[in-house]
Amino acid sequence: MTARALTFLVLKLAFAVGVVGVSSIYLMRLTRPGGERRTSSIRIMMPFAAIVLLAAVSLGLAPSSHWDEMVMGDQWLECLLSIPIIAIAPFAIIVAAMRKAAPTSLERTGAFAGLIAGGVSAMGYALHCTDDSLPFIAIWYGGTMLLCTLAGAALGHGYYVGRGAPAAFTSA
Amino acid sequence: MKTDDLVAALSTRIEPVNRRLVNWTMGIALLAAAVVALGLMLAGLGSGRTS
Repeated sequence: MTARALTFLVLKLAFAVGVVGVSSIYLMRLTRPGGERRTSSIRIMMPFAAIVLLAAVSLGLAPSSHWDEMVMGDQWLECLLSIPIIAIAPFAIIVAAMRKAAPTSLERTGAFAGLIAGGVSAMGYALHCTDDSLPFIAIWYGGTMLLCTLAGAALGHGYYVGRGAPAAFTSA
Repeated sequence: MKTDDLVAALSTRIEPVNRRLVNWTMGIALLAAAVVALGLMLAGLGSGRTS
C-alpha cells in the first residue's frame, strides 16, 4: 500500500469513526426517557462539515477538468449500494439493543441508530474502496451515511410502533 | 380507565432501570455491529487494498 493510499484510508476511517463516536454518545443519551432534550444534533454535523470543507479545498486546488473524476471516482455506484446494504445488519443489532432501553423519541433514536449503522458500514467499506479523493469521501461516504440516517428514522419509528412500546414501558 | 386509576397503575411496581446494564448492552451492540459490518464487507467484497 502506498503512502497516499494509507493516508486516504486513515482519512476515511477517521471520518467514519468520528461519526460513529459522536452519534454513539447521543444514542446512549437517547436510551433514557427524555434523553432527546439533552441531545443536540449540531455536534454530529461536525465530522460532515469537516470533510465537506476539506473536499471543497481539494476541489479548489485541483483543475476543473479533474473534478468529475474526483467526485465520481470508479466505485461510486458500489459505494452507494454497499454501505446501506451492509448497514442493515448493524442497524438490526442496534435497534434490538435499544429495545432493552426506554427511548421516547423514536424517530431520533432510529436516525442515530441508522447513522451509526451507516458509519460502521463505511468503516468496513473503507478497507475495500480504492477511490482516493476527498470529494468522493464527502459525497459518497457522507451521502450514504445520511441516507442510512433517514432510513433509520423511518424504520425506527415503524419498528417500535409495529412491535409495541419498549419493554421498560410495558413492565411497569 | 379514570386518570387516578391510570396514575396509580403507572406508579405501582416501579423498579429502577439498571443503567449499567443498559450501557453494557448498548456497548456490546455497537461492538457487534462494527464486527458484523466489517465481516460482511470483507466476505462480500474483500479488501481492495491488498488485491
